[in-house]
Amino acid sequence: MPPQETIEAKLQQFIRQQFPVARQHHVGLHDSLLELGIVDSLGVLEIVTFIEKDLGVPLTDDELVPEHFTSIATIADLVSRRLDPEGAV
Amino acid sequence: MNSLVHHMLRASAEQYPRHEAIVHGPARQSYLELWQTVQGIARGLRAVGVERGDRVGVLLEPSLPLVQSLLGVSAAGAAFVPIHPGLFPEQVEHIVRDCGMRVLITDGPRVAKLQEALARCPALEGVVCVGSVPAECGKLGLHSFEELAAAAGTAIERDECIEGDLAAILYTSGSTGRPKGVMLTHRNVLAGAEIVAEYLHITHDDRTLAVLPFSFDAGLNQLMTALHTGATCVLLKFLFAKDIVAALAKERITGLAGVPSLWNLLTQDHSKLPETSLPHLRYISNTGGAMPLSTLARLRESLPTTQVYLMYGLTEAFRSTYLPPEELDRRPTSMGKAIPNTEIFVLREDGTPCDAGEIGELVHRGPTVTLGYWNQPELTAQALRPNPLFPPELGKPDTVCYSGDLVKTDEDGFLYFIGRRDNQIKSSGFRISPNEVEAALLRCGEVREAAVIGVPDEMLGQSILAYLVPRDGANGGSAVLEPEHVLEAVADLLPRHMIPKEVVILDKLPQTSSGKIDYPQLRKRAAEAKPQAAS
Repeated sequence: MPPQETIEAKLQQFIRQQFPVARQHHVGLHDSLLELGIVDSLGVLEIVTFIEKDLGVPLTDDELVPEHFTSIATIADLVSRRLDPEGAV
Repeated sequence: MNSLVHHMLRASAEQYPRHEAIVHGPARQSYLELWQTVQGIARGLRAVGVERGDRVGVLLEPSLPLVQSLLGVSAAGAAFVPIHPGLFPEQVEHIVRDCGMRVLITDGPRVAKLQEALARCPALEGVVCVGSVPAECGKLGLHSFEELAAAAGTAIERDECIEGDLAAILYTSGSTGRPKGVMLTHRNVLAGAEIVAEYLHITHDDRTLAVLPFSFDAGLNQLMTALHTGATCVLLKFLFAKDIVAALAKERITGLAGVPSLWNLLTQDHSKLPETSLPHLRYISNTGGAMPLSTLARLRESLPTTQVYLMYGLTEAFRSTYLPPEELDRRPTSMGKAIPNTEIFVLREDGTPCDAGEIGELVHRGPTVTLGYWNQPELTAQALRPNPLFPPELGKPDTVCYSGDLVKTDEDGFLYFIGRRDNQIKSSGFRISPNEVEAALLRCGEVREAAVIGVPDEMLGQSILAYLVPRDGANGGSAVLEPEHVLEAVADLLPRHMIPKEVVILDKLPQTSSGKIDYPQLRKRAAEAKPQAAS
């Protein structure tokens, strides 16, 4: 099971690759993706698809809320919890 | 008589005073309430020095104050400039500077983020803040939106503007970082609302969901059509498709306007569209690019009783054509025919009309042809030209809009999109200049030559294909050119929609006899490589 840091690194790589603006603005783990306008609704869909297809973590409808997609760190939290529901983060 | 934008609201407030005009979450205003607020804002804007013809920016998230501001600016005799809330400070600065904006209506938190950018805008005098007002913002005068809206005094009884005056400037999210401002007259906005209300059969019983931004012509048109007919316009800021589906159900929405990417979202898993019953949804309308046939099929499966209108519009002329729903099965790839009170020509290079089946440029004639681009007479003169088919006996010809889009008609006069007249690429609604993409590619490492073309793409309309030739390597051969590295490097130089979807490495680019890049040859090559993609 990949530790949180690995998930964060994978997400960061994906987001910087997919969203040039994220690279230009050197988006870090805790920067707000939504508020900075780096990710819009289509961008969120791409991230969801990446989590489900590439990381192999299916998400439920209830998990699709803005709070889970505010930063790379919050997305990584969400993925980690899904991978290890018992382990407290 | 309705001749100015806010007159549509005034008329609906007289006819349906207690009818719901705008809704945003729990916030709601009737037509009479909205009209009263708008008059207050108009008085308040006048009180802070806004004059006829001034440009007033509106940079707000979907909300009641957003709608109130647009109309308040019109009622004050000024021109509103809606700014997309997702723009970065440097993009906002460009718009504020370019149009010589005098006052900006936004919110307190944004003022703090924009302070430096706004300080570089010489014509800007004041900022109106919805909600909390910051202590200061450089030399700019700060005003409270709420106080402005409550401004007492007499109503502005006599409008100074007439229908041909500037009502709004819409900044196109064009292919470059320097968007151009398209100037709309009051007549343009009213005609757009009247025409669309007619062919979508919109009445005061309709409830439309506005998810497109008002800085986009189709989004603004949707709002104005609602105001014109006395319908209810529900504003929504969404992040997930399921938010849209939930709003459609909860607000008993009858009409939804969208763009291909939105329909793409709505037909993905998680959207809950197929399992949600939407009996009220009378129509959906698509603009901003062709609807992919697979998406269309899924939408129609989920929405069996909803009519689908496929529309085509030019920013420089608002709406242009639509395909009536009853033609959808027969001609699903058609752009349809001219909207009411509008003529669409298909012209040859020499300005004479094409026969059926013959490819020519789409030219739009009608009351929604705008004034062109703000402070850009040369670009305006390219797009807006004298009507070549005007009878000479009538004197000075009217102005028509040359779209740059190549189309043809079938035997029944229905239009079909073929491609761009120049080498321009149209991808997900953006017009992209190949030269700009090529120039960026040439800055990426070992690239010696670059040529990009548009190839048919079901989702994007066209996607960008780049042909690259590597530099000579140290040992006489070619340098190693990794497509992935190039794409990564070019991502730093270009906005997302301009990044090639695919890169092909060649030893050399095909040339014409005069030594220029042979683009037709490249297009042929692409079509042969992917015969299934060629249309």
